[in-house]
Amino acid sequence: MKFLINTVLLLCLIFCVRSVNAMDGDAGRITISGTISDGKTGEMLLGATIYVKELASGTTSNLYGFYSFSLEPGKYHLVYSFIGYENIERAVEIQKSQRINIELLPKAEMLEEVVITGERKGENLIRTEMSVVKMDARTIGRIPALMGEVDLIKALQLLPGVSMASEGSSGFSVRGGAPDQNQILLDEASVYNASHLMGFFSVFNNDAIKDVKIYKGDIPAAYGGRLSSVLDIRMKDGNSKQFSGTGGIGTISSRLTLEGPLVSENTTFIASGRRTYADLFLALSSDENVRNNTLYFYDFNTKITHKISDNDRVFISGYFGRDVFKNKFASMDFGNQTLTTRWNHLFSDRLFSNFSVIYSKYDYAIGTPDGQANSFIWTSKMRDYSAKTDFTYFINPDNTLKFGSSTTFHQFDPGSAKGTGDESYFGELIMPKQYSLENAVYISNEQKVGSRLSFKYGLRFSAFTNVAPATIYTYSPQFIVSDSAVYTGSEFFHTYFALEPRFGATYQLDEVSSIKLNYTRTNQYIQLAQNSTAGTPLDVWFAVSPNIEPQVSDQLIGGYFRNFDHNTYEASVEAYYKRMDNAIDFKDQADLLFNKYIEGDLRIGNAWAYGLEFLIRKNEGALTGWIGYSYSVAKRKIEGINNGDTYTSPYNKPHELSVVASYEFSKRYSLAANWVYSTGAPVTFPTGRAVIGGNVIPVYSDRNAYRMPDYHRLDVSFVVKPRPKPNRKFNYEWNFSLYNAYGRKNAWSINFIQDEQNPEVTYAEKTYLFGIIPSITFNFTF
Amino acid sequence: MKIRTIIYILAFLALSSCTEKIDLELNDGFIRLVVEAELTNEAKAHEVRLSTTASYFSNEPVPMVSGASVLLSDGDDEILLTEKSPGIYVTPNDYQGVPGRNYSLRIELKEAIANETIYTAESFLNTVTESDSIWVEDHPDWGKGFYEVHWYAMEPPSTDFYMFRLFQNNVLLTDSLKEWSAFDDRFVNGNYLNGLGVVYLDRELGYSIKPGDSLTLMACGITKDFRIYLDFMRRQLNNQNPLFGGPPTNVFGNINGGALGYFAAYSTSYVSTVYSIRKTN
Repeated sequence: MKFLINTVLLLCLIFCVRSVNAMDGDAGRITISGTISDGKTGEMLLGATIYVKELASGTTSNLYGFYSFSLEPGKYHLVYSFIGYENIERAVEIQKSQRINIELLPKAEMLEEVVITGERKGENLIRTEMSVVKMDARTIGRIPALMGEVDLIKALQLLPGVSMASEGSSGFSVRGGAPDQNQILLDEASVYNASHLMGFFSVFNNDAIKDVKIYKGDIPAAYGGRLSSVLDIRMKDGNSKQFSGTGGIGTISSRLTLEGPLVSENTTFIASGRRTYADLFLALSSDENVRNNTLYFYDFNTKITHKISDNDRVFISGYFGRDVFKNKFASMDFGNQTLTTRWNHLFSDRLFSNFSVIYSKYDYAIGTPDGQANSFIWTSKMRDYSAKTDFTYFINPDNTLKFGSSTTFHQFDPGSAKGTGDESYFGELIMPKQYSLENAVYISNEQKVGSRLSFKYGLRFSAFTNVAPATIYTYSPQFIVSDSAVYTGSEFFHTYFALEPRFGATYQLDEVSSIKLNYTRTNQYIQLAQNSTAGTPLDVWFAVSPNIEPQVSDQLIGGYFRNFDHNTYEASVEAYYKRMDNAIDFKDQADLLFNKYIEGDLRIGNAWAYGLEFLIRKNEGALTGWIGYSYSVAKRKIEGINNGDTYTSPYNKPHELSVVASYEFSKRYSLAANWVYSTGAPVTFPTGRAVIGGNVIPVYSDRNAYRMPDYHRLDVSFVVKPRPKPNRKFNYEWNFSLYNAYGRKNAWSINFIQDEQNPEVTYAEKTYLFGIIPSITFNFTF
Repeated sequence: MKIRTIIYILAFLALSSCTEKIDLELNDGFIRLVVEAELTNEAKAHEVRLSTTASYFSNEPVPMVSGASVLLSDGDDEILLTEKSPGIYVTPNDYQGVPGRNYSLRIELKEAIANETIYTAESFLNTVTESDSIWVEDHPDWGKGFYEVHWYAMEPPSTDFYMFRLFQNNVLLTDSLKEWSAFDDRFVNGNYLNGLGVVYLDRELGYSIKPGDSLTLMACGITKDFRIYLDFMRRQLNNQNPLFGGPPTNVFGNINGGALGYFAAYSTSYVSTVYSIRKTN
């Protein structure tokens, strides 16, 4: 089996390279290529545009800031542009292929409404890409945040089609999918649990982030393995021009980022740290029990980039974060670690490649102190080792071919618990480890046909192999273990193969509007055992097996895109329909932790979702922001759940509206606000009561037959900067913010309570987490 | 392992959560029979209670079901229980369950509920290990404080399931289902239990134990099914929140015919102590 997979991989690669060579016969053409970077910091700009006036055509820089465009020799005007930066126009006469590295400067005067010269085309209209939203760190940083902690996941939750899993949670659901159907990548490394402190903060420190892109559908062939979305987060490379720093002192945490060149401009570094100090306040408490608690989290991001030559660059980036909680009774800690090593190589001006080796780990430990009868420690961890190759071949202005491969070895250790010390009465319980191999090869092409029509088509071939040692149980139709098979050594005992086609088309109706269509199939082979909405750090991931088939999603999207006022406003409406086969839910009262027979607690069926999403966005000028609205329906029908009847998916909120705005009054003052409204989440309520064992026991409705009260919230923030002075090295700002500004008591949960005094009486009670939460943050750069 | 407790602490340290009563419109539910039946290896009048469900906010006692014939069989002999008060049916005063036997219950209603008149249930009567001793520890310094009952006993090598109830001065202190703690021997199988915490009583809930009080632990050897049932019921009574547990569902016990409730047979073992304040080591 291993041989077969490797052969297939190899054949695909050979085929790709062959086809590339075959198409390389365009002798008359020459190539301009190079990089586009920020002139102040040297950071590569991702998705910047190069527009050739004479050809009325262009391209964009890739994920590493590289672009390539082939044309016939001659005189051209090239326009380089990027949102928030001054355009650069170059008149060039080119006779032979050449490198043009461009540095764009940030717009000095953000206040003046940008004068659009008509040269920057509505790039969003032309791109064969839909259901994708890109955000840079600056946009994210402007959004008012809970306790002033800027959080990219919370920012994404303000987009139509992205719902928060529960109040304050950094889990999210995309178009009716489950949170474990989102692939979260930090410099290509999978982040398995993006939560700090029970999810109220995410693990991403905005100071270390360059750019974020979420694919809600139309997932490129280069990505796979999750059904609903890909969240691609890229870390900054570090300032190559000069040593600089960014930092902040906030209500609950402090941050410091240092970056700069190392020895020469060719090597840069960035190191970014954040730590909370909630526990420092606990020490002030008069209650000794509170005082003796330890509670904090920290993050550390670092990256080193080295430019070996114009053709070769290497990147090493890492993330390390941890949450720690400890008191005299118990302790718990959890966190992620990732390490990515990448090498960019240009085989030619038109063949760009990247090779990555990636390590990712998530682990947790929970326990009680030593030396007592109930002393125990429980640990769990999961590790991924991956290798990836990605090639981009800029064949000609009309065709861009991408192909590559990825291999990941998953090693899941779902948990082992044992007593500690001599006095403990606990024995040892070890859950069997799971090993598996996830492989994929892909190829895709973006093709322009004439000036208005373009296509994107691709195919991903994925294979998932269970690797021994393992014990696979056979279940009866009643989900009772009837037999087991033991695999030993490192046998590849079971493999699933899948073809995942991807197709997109864009037709430009006129200068200001276009229509787009897309079909995407994705497969998912590993999933999270979670039956609550927000989840906890105690994650148990499990892979497909002879008993569980991979989840498959087919999504069809159609959209209309229209820009207004010289591309100042970008508007879109998209309709989607998504069908998911082998959708997983858990049986009633499923046992998710320390359960060897967890497969017997799964129930498999179908899920489907459809909806309509509106988004209007303004990216430049004194006023920036967006308004998003979505209408969605998401259902599941699974044998063994809700009597086999259709029920509403747990994250579905039919109406969601968000208004996000930021306004700069002057160079010193700016105001930002966002308002969100959504239908309440689906919930199961009691419709009757039984008295059993002296307690009033609720008798429940069908699953998710009711809804929580509507959710809405306003957040505002106000930023004050000092009077601008030229040549000041140290700049700072004060950020005052209010989360939940009008104090809406949004229900986090609703419980049914039996009155203490009068046991016959029951009443409903809501729990809400947040009143008005003010915070002050001091940010600085030098 | 009190993992949930740990996480609750985490969650609540992080937040200042508040609660508030709210009004909700709920549909009227269905009506089902509710059975509560227990049989032990003690010689006494064992009770079977029959009632029905009511609408959730009805806020009055649930209707009892009278006039049914309730039959209990140990496989050889069958007895008819007598209705001592409306809906409460009892065995003779000297009736005693025998460990190792399988008991069955048969209920025939005078009037059908949800179109069913006949309900049946079965339960095996398990043994229980002898208790050596208990001691009760006061933890005054955590929240408003709680008491922990430590149990000393030899846990047999078999797979066992336990339920615990506590008597204070010979009165049942843990008198409702949500107070009946239960556990299985998954983590401790075959070990000597040198002070396993089996009952936790929060002062905040009104428990108060004074020096000199006699405390008796009733350890019960229950079936796996009843252990699961208790666990599910307690989860159902726990507050719901987005962190733990799936969506709530109705828990049907071992009564055939679509009734709620359970029929539980189990053995008991008692051990007593007189409470005195002792320092935690």
